[in-house]
Amino acid sequence: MKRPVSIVIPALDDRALLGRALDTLWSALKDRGESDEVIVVDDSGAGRLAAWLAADHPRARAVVNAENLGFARALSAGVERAHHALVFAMNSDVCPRPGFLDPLVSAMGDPRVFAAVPRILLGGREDSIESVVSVELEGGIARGVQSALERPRKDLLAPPWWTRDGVTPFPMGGAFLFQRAVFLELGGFDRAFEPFYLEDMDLGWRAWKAGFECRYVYDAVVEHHHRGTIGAVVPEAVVRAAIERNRLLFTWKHLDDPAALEEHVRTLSRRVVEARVLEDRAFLTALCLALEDRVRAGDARDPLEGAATWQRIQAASAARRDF
Amino acid sequence: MVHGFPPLERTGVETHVAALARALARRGVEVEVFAPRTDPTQPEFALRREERDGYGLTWVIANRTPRSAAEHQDPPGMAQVFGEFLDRERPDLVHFHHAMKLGIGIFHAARRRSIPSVYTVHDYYPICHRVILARPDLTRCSNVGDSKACARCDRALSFLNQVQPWSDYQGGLLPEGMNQRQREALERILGGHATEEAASAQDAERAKLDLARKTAFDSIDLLLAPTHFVRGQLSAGGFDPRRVELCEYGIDATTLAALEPLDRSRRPLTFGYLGGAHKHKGLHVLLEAFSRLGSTPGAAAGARLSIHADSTDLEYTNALRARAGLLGVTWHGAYTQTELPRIMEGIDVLVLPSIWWENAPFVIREAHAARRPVIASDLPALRESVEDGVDGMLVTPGDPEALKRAMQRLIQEPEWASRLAQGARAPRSLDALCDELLGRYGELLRRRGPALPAAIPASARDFSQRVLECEASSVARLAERASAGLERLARSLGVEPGPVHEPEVSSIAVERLQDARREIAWRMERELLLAAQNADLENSRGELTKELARVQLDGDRARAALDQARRTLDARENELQFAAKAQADAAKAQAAAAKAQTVAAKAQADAAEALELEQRAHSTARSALAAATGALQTALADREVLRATLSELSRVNETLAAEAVGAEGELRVLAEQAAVLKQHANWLEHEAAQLTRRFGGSSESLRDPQEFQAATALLDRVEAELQWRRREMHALCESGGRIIRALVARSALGRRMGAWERKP
Repeated sequence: MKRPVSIVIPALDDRALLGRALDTLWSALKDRGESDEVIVVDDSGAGRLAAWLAADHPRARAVVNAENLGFARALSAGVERAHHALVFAMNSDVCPRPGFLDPLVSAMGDPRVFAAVPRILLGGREDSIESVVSVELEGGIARGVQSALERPRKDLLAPPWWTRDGVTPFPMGGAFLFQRAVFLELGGFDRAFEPFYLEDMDLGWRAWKAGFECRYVYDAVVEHHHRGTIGAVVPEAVVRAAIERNRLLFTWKHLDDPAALEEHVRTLSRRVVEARVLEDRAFLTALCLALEDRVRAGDARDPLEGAATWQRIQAASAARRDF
Repeated sequence: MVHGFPPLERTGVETHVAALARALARRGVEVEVFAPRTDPTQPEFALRREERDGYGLTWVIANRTPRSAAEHQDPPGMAQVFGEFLDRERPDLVHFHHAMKLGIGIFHAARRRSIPSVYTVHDYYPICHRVILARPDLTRCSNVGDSKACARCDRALSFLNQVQPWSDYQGGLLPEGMNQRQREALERILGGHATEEAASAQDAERAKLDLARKTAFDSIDLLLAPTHFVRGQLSAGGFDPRRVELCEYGIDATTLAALEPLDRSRRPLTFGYLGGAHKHKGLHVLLEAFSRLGSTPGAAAGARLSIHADSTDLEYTNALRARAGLLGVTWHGAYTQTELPRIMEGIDVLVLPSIWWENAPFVIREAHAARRPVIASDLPALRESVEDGVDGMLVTPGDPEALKRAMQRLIQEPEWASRLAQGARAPRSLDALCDELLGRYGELLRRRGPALPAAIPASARDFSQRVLECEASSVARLAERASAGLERLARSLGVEPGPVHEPEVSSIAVERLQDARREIAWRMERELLLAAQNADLENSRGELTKELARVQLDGDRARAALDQARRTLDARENELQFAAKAQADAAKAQAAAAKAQTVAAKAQADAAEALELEQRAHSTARSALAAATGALQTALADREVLRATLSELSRVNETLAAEAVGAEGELRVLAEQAAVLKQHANWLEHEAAQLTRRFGGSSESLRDPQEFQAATALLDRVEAELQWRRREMHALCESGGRIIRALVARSALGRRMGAWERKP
C-alpha cells in the first residue's frame, strides 16, 4: 500500500492560479487512491477561499489564517494540521505532472532523508531546472545558487549529475516532500527570515546539521509558473532587500569557520566604506536591516553540533551527488 | 536651496536662510543647504561640503557664464547635479528660497523624485524674469502676466547695452543717467513702438521662456508669500491662489531687542540706511532729501546720515559716494550680521526710500526689533511692514521733498520720533516662523500619503516599511548605521571587531579615487578619441560638404543638361510620333488613294463603258434612225408609187369602167384592195409623221436610256408593222396585179402593161 501524503498549499486569494494548480494536482494524484489529503491554507487574511473550495474543490480541506502570515507561517499552519507523516509543500503557482509523488515517496524510504525535492521546471521548460542548487559564499556572503539555471548552457549538452537523482543542500520551498515529525522537531521555518526568501535554504541546512539529508529526485516533475510570487505585490527594492538581508542572516547564523567569519566581517566593513563611496544604497539597506534584526533576535546563532558544520555540509551535499 | 549663502552673499535672503537653517537644525531637523558659488579653481558643478552651525552646506561650483536668456534661466547641467544631490541625500522635503544661478530645472528635479517642495517668494522672480518687477527705466511695472511687456523690457535692456557698453546698468538706468535722446528712445521702446517684425520674434522667445518658468514654478507644491501684496501679484501673474499662502518672515531679534531704545534727546538725529546700494532701493532719493534738509534752517545741524550699503553697481555707488562725501554723509559699506546690533545702535531712524514694489524688508523688522522708527516709501507691500504714524512714516516713493519733510518732522519733533519708536512692535520671531514651517512641512508630507503600496500583504508590510525608510535615508546616514552595527556583530560572532582602520579607509578611498580617475581617464580618452573621430568626421564632413556642393553643382549642371536632353528627346519623340502618325496617315491616304484610284478606274471604265454604250446606243439609234428614215423614205416612196398606182388604177378603173362593164366583180375586188392599200398608205403616212415628229429633230432625246429604249422598241414595232404591211401590200398588189393582168389580159390594156409593171 502506498504511503499517504498530506499536501499543503499556502495560497493568497488568486483563485484562477489556485484552481489551475488544484486541477493539475487532481489529475496527477489519480493513480494514488484516496488516502492522500490536500490542505489549502487560506493566507489571504480575509478567509475568502473556504467557500469556493467547498464548492469547486471539495476534496481540498481549507485552513484559514485570520490574517496574512506569509508563506513560511502559512505552510507551518498547514503542517500542524496535516494527518500524515509525509507532507508535500506546494506553492499555488506549481503544477505537478502525473506520477510526481511516487518517486518522491520512494526517496523518503530512508529515515535519514528529511526532504525530497522534485525536478522543478521553470515555466515548464525541460531545460530550466530550478531545484538543482548549491550554497556558495559570494564575496564572503552565502548565496543559494540555482546551478542548473546559472551554469553556462554547454553543461546542458553534456548531461551533468542533475539529470539523475542526487543530494541537495536544501529543498526549494516551492515544492518538496518532507517528514512532518522532523520538520516540527527542527522547529519549522526560522521566523528571522520573514517575510520571505531563503527560509527553505535555512531549513535544509539545519536538517543537514541535525544529521539528515535532502534529496533531489529526477523522475518527480512539477512545473513552476511564477506568478503568485511576492514580486507581483511587493516593490522590487523590498524583494531585493529581503534576499540580501537574508543572505547576511543565513551567513551569520551558519558560517562557523572562524577564519571565514573573520574574513566575512572584514569584507563587510570594507564594503560599507565602498558603498558609502559608490553610493550603493541597496547594500547598505540590506546590511542595516540585517544588523538590526540580528540585534532584535538577541544576536542568536544556530546551536551547533560540533564545529565546522558548514564545511561538512558543503562536502556532504556536494560529494555524494551521484548514487 | 538658495541662490547664495554667507559669507559670500550677505544680503537679506541669504542671511535669512542661514538663520533659518540653524534654527531648524536646533529643532532636530536635518538640514542640508545647497547653494551655488563661483570658484575658478574648481571644476564646474563640483560639490564642496561644509559643516555649519548644526547643518550641512553643499556648495555647487557654478563658474559658467550663461550665454543666453534661456541658459540664464536654466543653466544646462545644473538640474542633473541637483538631482544627483537629491538622490544621495533623499530629503523628505525641499525648501527653495531662490532659483537664480541654480535655474528652474531644480524644481523639476524635485518633482520627478516626488519630493514635496516649498518656495518662499522673496521677490518677484516667479512673475518677472527681471526679479524686481521694475522696468529698465526703473519705474514700477504694472503689466504682470503680459509677456509682450516683458519682451519690451528685454528690448529696452538691449538698448541700454548700447548706452552702457559694459552692461553695467544693474537692472536699469535712472532718467538722470541718460541724455534726452536716450530717454526718448527708451520710452519709445517701453511704449511698444518697435517694429512689429522684430517684436514678434522677441515676443515669442520671451513668452516661451516665461512659460517654462511658470511651468517650473507650478511644479512646486506650496509657495509662501511674505506679504499680501506679493501674493496678489502672483495671483495676477496666473498662479493658483490656493497654492500661494501668506507666511510672514520671522527674525531672531534677541540681540537687537536688548538695545537701548531711541534717546529722544539725542541730537543730531542719525538717519540710517542699511541694505544694498541698488538703484531700485532709492538711495539717491535719500541723498537728495538729505541735501535739501541741509538747506532747511535748523534742520541741517540736527541730522546725520549713516549709510551701510554696497553693491556691484559701481557707477551708481561711486556717484552716490561722491555726493555723500560732499554732503557730509558717512558711508560705511557692507556689514555682516554680527555687526548689525552695533550699527543699529548707532542710528535713530531707519530710512527705506525704495522705488521698486518692495516685499517685506528684513531691515524694517530689525529696526522695529531695536525700537527704531522707520521712514519708508508709501508702497502697498511696505504698508504691511510699516504703519504710518504708529511705528514709522510712509512717504511718496521717489519724492525727495516728501522724504525731506518726514525727516524734518522727526528732527524737529522729538516727541513724535519717540512716539513712533514706542509704537514699534517686536517683529515675528524666527521660532514662530520655524513653528509655522514645520507645521506646513508636516502637512505636505502627510498629504503625500502613505508611501507603502496598498497591495503589499500584511505579513510583508513592516519589512517593506523599513526598507522604504532606508531608501529615504541618505547614503551617509545608512553607512553610519551599518558601521555602528558591524562592531556589535563582530563581537557577537566572536570575531575581532574589524572596523576599517584609517589607513584602510584611505586605501579604499584611494582605490575608488583611482577607479574614478581611471574611469575619467578612460572616458576622457574615449571622449578625446570621439573628439578626434568627431574632428575627422567634421573634416570629412567639411570635405564631403564641399564635395557635395561640387557634386551638387555638377549634379545641377548635369541635371540641367539632362533636362535639356530630356526636353530634346521629348521633342524628338514628339516629332517621331508625329512622323509615325503622318506615316500611318499617309499609308491610310495611300490606301484610300489606291482605293480611290480603283474606284476611279472602275468609274473610268464604267464611264468608258457608259460612253461606249452611249456611243453604241447613239450609233444604234442613229442607224435605227437612218434605217427608220430609210424605211420611211422607202415607205414614202412606196406611198408615192402606191399613190401613182392608185391614180393609175383609178384612171385604169375609169377607163376600164368605161371600157368594160363585164368586169364588175373584179373591179369591186380591186376597189376593196385599193381601199385596204389606201388604209395602209394612211397608216404609213401617220407613222412616218409620228416618227418624223419624234426623231426628226436632233438625236439629243436619245441620250436618255429610257427614251432610247422606247425609241428602239417603237422602231422595232414600226419596222415589224412596216414589214407586215409591206407583205400585205405586196400580196394585195400581187392579187390586184393578177386581177388586173387577167383583166388586162382580157383587154386592150394588156399591151401597155409592160410599161409600168415592176416589183413593189
